[in-house]
Amino acid sequence: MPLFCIVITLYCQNFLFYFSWDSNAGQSLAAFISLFLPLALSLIFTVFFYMKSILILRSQQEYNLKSTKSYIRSLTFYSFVQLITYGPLITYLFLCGFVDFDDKVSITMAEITENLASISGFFSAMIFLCQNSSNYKKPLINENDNDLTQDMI
Amino acid sequence: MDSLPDFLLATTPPSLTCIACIILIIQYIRYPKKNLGFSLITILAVSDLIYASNTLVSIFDPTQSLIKISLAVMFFSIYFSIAWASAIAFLVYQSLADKNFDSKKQLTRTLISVFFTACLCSA
Repeated sequence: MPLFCIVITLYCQNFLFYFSWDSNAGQSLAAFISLFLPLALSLIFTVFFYMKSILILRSQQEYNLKSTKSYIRSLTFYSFVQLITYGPLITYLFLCGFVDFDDKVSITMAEITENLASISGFFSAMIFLCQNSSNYKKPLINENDNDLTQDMI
Repeated sequence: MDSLPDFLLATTPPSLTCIACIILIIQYIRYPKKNLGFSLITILAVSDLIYASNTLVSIFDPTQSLIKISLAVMFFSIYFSIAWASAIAFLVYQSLADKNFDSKKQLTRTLISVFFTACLCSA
């Protein structure tokens, strides 16, 4: 479903390019849609599905209380990292579509948002390594098949 | 780069990402039990590694002789990373909501879809 929405935005972009090839406004709108919308939709879907997963895990806490709590914490961290690292870049791209920044401000904002985006991998890897270093050492508390999280995260 | 602090500010985040992603990829290769979560995060780490190393190359190559390739790689990896993070969230949700979740089939299908979506977006 998230990918379907991204592909729809790409079709919208092509549609706009096709019908407004001679118009600068149409082209900039198409460029704005192609740059901003797929990223924004992805981020919204990421946070939305993490929140839905957390709700499911919270409702199934009777399966394995301790590990479920740690998985909820990991999912919250992942969604938080995505928001913090890619959020500013997407906001910057969004603002660029409407506001004319002067060169110095634009370069500074681009540098900061690119730096934040490039540190996303570090945080994601660290969350996963920290989570798993404790999980690998100890045996699973509940090896019941109903523990939905044990194969996933 | 104008000064050493600017240079450090620009190179530290991608360097940290490169180191963390390489450690994660090595762990994935060495670890015998490769579950779905580990595979998903490793694919994200590969994409982030490409993005971060591309950023480092563009910093260390001031002539920017490979600017077109660098821009294409940058856009591809950033679209792939964000779309893949979205796909991870969706697969986590599906695995929890769907009792008959087939992880290998879903992973392959999602990987192919995200790859082509990133190619389309960055083209």
